[in-house]
Amino acid sequence: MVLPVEEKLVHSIRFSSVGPGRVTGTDVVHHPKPMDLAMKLHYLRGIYYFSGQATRGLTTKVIKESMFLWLNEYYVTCGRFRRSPDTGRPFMKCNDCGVRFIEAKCDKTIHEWLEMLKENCELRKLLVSDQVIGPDLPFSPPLLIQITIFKCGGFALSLNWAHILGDALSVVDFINRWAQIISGLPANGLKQLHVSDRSSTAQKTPTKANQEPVSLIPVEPVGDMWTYSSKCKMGTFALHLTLPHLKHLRSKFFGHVKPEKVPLFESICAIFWRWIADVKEGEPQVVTICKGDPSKRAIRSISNSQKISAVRADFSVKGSDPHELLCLLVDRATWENAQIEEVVERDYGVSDFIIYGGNLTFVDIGEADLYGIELKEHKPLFADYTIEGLGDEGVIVILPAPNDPKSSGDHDTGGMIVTMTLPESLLSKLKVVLMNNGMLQYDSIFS
Amino acid sequence: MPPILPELTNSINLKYVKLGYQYLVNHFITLILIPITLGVLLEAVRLGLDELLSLWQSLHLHQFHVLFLSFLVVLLAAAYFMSKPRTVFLVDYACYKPSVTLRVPFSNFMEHSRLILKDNPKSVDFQMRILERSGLGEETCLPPAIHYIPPKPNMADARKEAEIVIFSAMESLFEKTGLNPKEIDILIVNCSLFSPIPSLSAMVINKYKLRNNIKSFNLSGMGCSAGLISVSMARDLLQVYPNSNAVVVSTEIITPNYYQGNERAMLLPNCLFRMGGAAIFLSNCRSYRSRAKYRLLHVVRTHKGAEDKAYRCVYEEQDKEGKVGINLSKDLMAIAGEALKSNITTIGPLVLPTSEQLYFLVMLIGRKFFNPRWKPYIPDFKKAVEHFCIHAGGRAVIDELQKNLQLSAEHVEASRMTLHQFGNTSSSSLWYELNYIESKGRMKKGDRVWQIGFGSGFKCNSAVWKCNRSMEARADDGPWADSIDRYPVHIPEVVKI
Repeated sequence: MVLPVEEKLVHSIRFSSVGPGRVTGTDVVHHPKPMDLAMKLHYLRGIYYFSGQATRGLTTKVIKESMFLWLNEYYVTCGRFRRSPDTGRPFMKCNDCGVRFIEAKCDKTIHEWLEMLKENCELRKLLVSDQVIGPDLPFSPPLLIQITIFKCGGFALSLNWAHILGDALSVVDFINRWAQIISGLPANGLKQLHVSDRSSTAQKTPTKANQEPVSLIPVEPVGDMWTYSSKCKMGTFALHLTLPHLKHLRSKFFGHVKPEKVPLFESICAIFWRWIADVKEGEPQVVTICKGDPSKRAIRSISNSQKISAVRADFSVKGSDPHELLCLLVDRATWENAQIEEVVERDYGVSDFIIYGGNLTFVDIGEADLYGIELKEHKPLFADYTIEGLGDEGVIVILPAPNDPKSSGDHDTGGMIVTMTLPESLLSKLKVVLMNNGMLQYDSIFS
Repeated sequence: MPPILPELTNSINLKYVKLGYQYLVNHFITLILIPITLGVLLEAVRLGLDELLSLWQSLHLHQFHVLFLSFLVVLLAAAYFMSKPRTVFLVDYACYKPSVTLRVPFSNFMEHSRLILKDNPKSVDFQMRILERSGLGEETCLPPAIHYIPPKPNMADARKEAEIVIFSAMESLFEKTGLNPKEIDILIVNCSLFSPIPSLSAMVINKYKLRNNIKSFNLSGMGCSAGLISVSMARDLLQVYPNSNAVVVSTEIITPNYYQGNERAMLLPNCLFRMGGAAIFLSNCRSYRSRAKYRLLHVVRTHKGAEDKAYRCVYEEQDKEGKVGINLSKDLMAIAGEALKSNITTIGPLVLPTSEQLYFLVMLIGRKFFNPRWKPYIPDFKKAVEHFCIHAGGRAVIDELQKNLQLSAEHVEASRMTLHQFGNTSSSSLWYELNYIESKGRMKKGDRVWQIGFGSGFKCNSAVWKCNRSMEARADDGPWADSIDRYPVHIPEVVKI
C-alpha cells in the first residue's frame, strides 16, 4: 500500500502524449494473434534507473523529441484497440494516437530512493503508471511511459506495457532501441515493422488440439476493462541472488548433479517451488513456466513469442527433493502454445483468460538484454520488471542483476534478481524460509 | 443528335464572339494607336524629307522656344515620376515549418479532449464532428504547452512559442534573402491574441540587434486579416521613406488562447487554429528590382464593423465560468459573404480587364433601366488574376468563396491543401498558400495573385501581387519540403476518426 505521505514523494505530475513523427496512414490495422489475446489481461511494468551522469543534457524535451523518431518504427504501440463489429474480436487501429507520457519529479536522490525501495517495494508504484486498457478501448493507451526526475539529476524511466503488444523480450528490445536512437545511432525511419506477419488474421487452428492447456485459465468476462484483480491481496518482494548465493544453493540442493544438467532458471524455479510448497496450505501441484524465445523474433518486431509450458508434479512437492522437481521442469515441461492458441481462437478471441498467476508461474527474463540499454555509455543503475494483472497463485520473475561496478574481475558479478508477487500471507511465510536459508543477507547492489 | 448540334455550335460561336469582344476592349488603345501611327508614318513618307523640313521651318521656332519647350517636357516628366507611387517589391518571404514532434493526429486530439472535458461528453462529440468535417489533416501542429492534459499554458510558454515561430521564420528569411538585420528600416509584427510587454516587435529587435532608429510597429487584436493590414501599412510607410527595407512578421500565438471551457461555439477555434507564422521582406529599393519575387499592385481594405452583427460575429469574451474564448456566431458565413462583396466591388475596377468591367456596367444599367429580370452579372475574376490565395479559415470559408467567385477546384487547391497540411494558421495562411503555388511550379513571370484575408471586425482585406520573375518549382527551403509531393490529396467530406 502506498501511504499518502509517500505519495507526496513524487509530485508535479504532468500528462501528455508522444507518437510517431510520420503519419502511419489511414486505415492501417493490426490484428493481434491468438497468443497476444491470451495475454491481454496482463501488463509488464518495467523501471530503469539512470544516474545523473547518464542523463546529463537529456531534458524532457530532448527525450520526447527522440521518441517521435523511435515510434516511427513501432507505430503499433501508438494505436488503439477496437472490437470487430461482427465477431467482437479485438483489433488495433494504428491511428497514431500515441503513447501516454508522464513527467514527474522526486525530491530524493536516486540512491536515497533505491535505499527506500529496499524497505518498501510498494514505492515502485509511484514511478510507474498502473492504468489498464479500458473501460473505453478506443481511448486507452496500451503503453504509458513515465520519466521521474530525481534531485541528483538522474531519472527513472518506466513503462506500463500491455502484454497484448508483446512479451518481455520484445519490451526490452523496444526500450533498448530507444536508447540507441537518443544516442544518435541512425533511426531506421524508412524500415517498416514487419507488417506482413502482423496484419494477417490468424484464424487458422493449430494441429494438436487433443487436450486443454493447463496454463491457460479462463476467467469471468471482463468486458472492455482488460485487467484481472486477484481475490486476495498480493505483495511484492525482490530478492537479489548474488553469485555466492547461487553457488551456495547449487551446492546445497544440486551438489551431486553435474553442473551442465543444472540450468540456472530451472534450478531457481525448482528451489522456490519447493520452498513455497513447504509454507503454503494447498501446495501447488502445477506450475506454469514462461521462457522467451530469442530465435523466433525478427529484429525490430514486437510479439508474444514466449514459450509457455505447464509442469505437473504427481508427487507431494512439500519436502521433496528439488532435484526431482528440476528433472520435471527440464524433461517434462510441455509447450502449450498451440493448445492455448486453439482455445483462444474458438470464440474469435472474445473470451478472457489469464496465464500469469493462474498457476504458480515462473517467468524467465534472464535472456533479455536488460542492461544492454546505455545512455551516454552508462548502463542503468538498476532495472526490473514486474507483472500485473496476476492470478491468485502468484508469479516469480527472474531477471538479470546489474553488474557490480566496483568489481575488478571480468566475470559476471551480477547474479539474478528474483521478484516475487504472491499473496501477502504466503509472502511473509516465504520470507521466513528465505531468512532461514541465509538468502536475506546480501550486499546492497545499490551502494 | 441533330437538336444538340445547333446548341453546341451556338455555344462555340458565342465563345468566339466573347473572346473577340474581350480582345477588342482590353487592347482598345493599342488597336486604335496602330492605325493612327501607321497613318502618320505613311503621310510622312509620302511628304518626303524636304517637305518635313520646310514644315518645321514654317513654325518659326526661336531657340528660346525650343529650350522652354524641352524644359517643360523635362519638368512634366519629372513631376510624373515623382508623383508615381513607389513600387513596393516583395523580395522574398519565409514560412515557419513546425517540427513533427508538435503534430496532432485526430485520434490524439480527440483522446485529449475526452480527458480534459470528461464531464461534458456533448462538447467532446461536438468537437469530434467539427474535426471530422474540418478539412484538416493529420500533420497540423499545436505548441508544446497545449499537448499537456490538461493544458496549463502560462505566459512563459506563450513567449516560448512566439520565439520558436518568429525566430525560425526570420532566420529562414535572412538565409533566403541575404538580408542583414541591420538593414531593416521598418518592422511590423502582427499577432492578434498575444500582446505582451515589451511587444513582439521589441522581442525581434532584441534578438537580432536591429538598429536603434528602426520604425517598429506591433499590431494586435486585428484578427486573421491582420497580415494584409501589415502589408498595407508597410506599403504606406515605403511611400514616405525612400530606399527602405521593411520586414513584416505575421503569426498567431496559440498557447495563451486555448479555450478551456465547455461552450460549444467557443470550442470551435480549438479544433481549427494551429501553429504557423511567416516573415516577409518588402522593399522599395530599385536594387531589388530584378531579384524580387513579386511587386505589389493593389491593397484594398474593407471594414464592416459599423454594422453590429458584423462587429459581434467573432467576439472574444468570458463564458459563464469565467473562461476566456472566442465566440464565433452562426452568421459568420453570411457576413463573410457580405464583406467579400464589398471588397470585390472596390477591387474589381482595379484588377478586372476593361472588357469585364464594360460588360458588368452594361448589365447593371440594363437591369436598372431596361429589364430588372436580367440575372446580375458576376464578373469573372479568373480573368483578373491567375492565382487565388484564400485565407484557410475553415472549409466553409473556402467553399463559400469558391461559390461566390465561381472558382474551379484548381484555383482553391492552394487554400484547401494549406488547411489540410497546416490547419488554420490565421494571418500567415496566405503565405503558406502562396508557397504551395510556387512549390508546384505554377507561378510564372507576369502572373497575378490575389490574396484574400478575413478577420474579426469584420474585415475583408485583399492584396494583388504580380510575379516579377520566373521561379523554379522548389519546395526544399520552405514549409512544404517534406510534403509537397503528396499533394494534392482528396479530402473527404467526413473523415472517420
